[in-house]
Amino acid sequence: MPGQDRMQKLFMRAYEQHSDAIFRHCYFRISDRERAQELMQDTFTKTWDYLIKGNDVENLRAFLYQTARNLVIDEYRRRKPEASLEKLQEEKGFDPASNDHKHIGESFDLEVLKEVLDVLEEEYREVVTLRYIDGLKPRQIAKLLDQSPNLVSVRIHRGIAKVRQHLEKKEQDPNEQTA
Amino acid sequence: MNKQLKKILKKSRQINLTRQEKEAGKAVLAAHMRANPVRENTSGRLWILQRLFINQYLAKTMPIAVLLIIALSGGASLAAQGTEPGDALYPVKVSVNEQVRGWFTFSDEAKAELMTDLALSRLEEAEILATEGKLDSKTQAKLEQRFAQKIEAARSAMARLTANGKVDAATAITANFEAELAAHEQVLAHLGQNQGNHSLAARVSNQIAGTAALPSEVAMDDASTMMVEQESTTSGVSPAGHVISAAEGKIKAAGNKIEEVEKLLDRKNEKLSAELKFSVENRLKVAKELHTEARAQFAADVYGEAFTLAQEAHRVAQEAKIILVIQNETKIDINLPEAGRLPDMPTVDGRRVQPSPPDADTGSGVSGQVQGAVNAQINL
Repeated sequence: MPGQDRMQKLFMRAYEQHSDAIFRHCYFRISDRERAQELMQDTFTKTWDYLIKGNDVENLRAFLYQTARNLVIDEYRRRKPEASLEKLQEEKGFDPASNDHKHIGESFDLEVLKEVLDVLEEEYREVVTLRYIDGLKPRQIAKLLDQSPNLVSVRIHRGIAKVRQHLEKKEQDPNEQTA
Repeated sequence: MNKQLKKILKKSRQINLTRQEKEAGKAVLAAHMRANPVRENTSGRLWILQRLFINQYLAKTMPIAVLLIIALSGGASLAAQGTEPGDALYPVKVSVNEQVRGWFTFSDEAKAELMTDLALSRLEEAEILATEGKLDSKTQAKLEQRFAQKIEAARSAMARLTANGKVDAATAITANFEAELAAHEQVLAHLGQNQGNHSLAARVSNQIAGTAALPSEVAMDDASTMMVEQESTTSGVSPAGHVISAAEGKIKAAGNKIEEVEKLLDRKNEKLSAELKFSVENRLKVAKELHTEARAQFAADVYGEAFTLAQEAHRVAQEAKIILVIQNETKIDINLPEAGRLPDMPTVDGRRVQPSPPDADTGSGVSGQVQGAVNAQINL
C-alpha cells in the first residue's frame, strides 16, 4: 500500500543521512568497526520499531543518538558483566581490530586518538566524542544525557584537558605505556 | 586545544561507512521494515515523520542551492499534479488570528514572510525582464544571487521559528511560499519555451525538470503526499487538528488571494486589452469555483481534498495576479495556457516531467504591445 512505501522511503532517507554519524559515534566509543556497524544498524531498527508503535519523536537525530548511546552502554555491560564502567577503563581499553586498518587507512594520528580516548573514563569519553566527533553542541548533549549544561561543559573541558595532557606526555616519551 | 588535537579530531570526523557497507545496511533495514510494517490505526503518524523531515529540511547543513531546488521543484510538483499539500498552512494575513495559533513569535514569523516575499519579488522582476528579452546573463546572475540571499534569510528565520517549537508556522510559510512559486514556475516555464535558453526562465524550468532527485527533495514530496493519503485512508479516525486548520488556513488564503486579484483587476480595468481581461477573468472564475468546492469539501469533513482544492485555487489566482503585474510593469500581455484543473502529470520517481508546450489555438507567446517607454526599475 502506498502509505507504507512512503514511510519506508522516508525512513530510508534518514538512514542515508545519519548512518555515518551514528556509526562514527559507536566506533569511537567501542573501537570495533564491525561491532560498531552492528550497533548502528540496531539503532535504526529499534528506532523504526519505536515509531511504528505510534510513538512521537520530537527530534529524530537526537533520538537516534539516544538509542545508539543506550546500545553502547549495553555493549559495555555485555563485554564485562561484573565490572563497573569505571573499572573498564583501568584496563587498556579495547584493542582496535587489526582489519580496521585496511578499511580506514588509518594514520598514526587516529591510532593515537583512539588510544587516548580509551584512556579516558567513560563519562569523559562520551561527552568528548559527542562534542568533537559528532559535533553536537553542549546544550544538545545536555539534553541527550538529561543533565545540566554546566555539568556537561565542565566535563567536556576536563575530558579534553586530559586528552591534551596525554598527548603531550606521548610527545615527550612516545614509548611509555599509557596508563 | 592544541593544533595536533584539532587535526586529529578533524580527521576522525571523516570516518564513514563504505558505499558497500551502507548499501548492505540499507538492504537489512528494508527487510526489517517490510517485516514490521506500520500499524493501520496510527493516525498522525505520518504527520510526525513529515515534521521530522521538515526539521531536517531546515537544518543548518542544507546548502542554499539545494534549498532553492527543493523549493522550486516542490512548487513544480504542486503545479503539475495539484495533489500535494504542504504542511500546516498559515497564510500571512491570517497569522494574527488567535483562533488558529496562539503561540507565534511574531517577529520571527514576520521576518520569514518578508524574506519569502522579497524572494518572490526577485522572481517577478526576472519574469518581467525575461518578457522584455532584457535578461542578460549578468542581471540574471545578480537576480539569482539576491533570490538565494532572501531564501537564506528566510531559512534562518524559519530555523529560529522551528527551534522555538513553532514548526507549524515555519512550515506554513514554506508551504505558502511554494504555492506562490508554483504559479511563478508556470510563468517561467512558459516564458522559457518562447525565448530559448538564455533566460532565467528556461534555466529554472530546465533545472526543475532535469534535476536528479535529491533525497530531501523527494522526501519533501513524499512527506507532503503522504499526509493526504494518510488522511484519506484512515476513515473513522478523526484527523489530527492540524490537518483541519491546515485546510482552513489554505481556504482563507485562497479567498484572500482571489479578493486581492479582483481589486487589482478593478483598478486596471480600462487599460487592459480584451484578451487579457478575458484571461484574468477566466482564471478568477476557475479560482472561485475551486474555492467554493474547497469549502464544500471542508464542510463535509474531507479535509485533504479541501486543502488540495484550496491550494489549486490559490495557485490559479496567483497566476492571474502575475499576468496583471507583468502587464502593469511592461505593458506586455502574456498568455498562459488556459487555466483549469491541470491534468495529472506523469512523473518519474516523484519528479515532474517537463510539460508539453501549450496548444497552438490558445495563442501562446508574447503578443507585444509596448505602449510608451518601458521602465523596468529593479531594486536589487
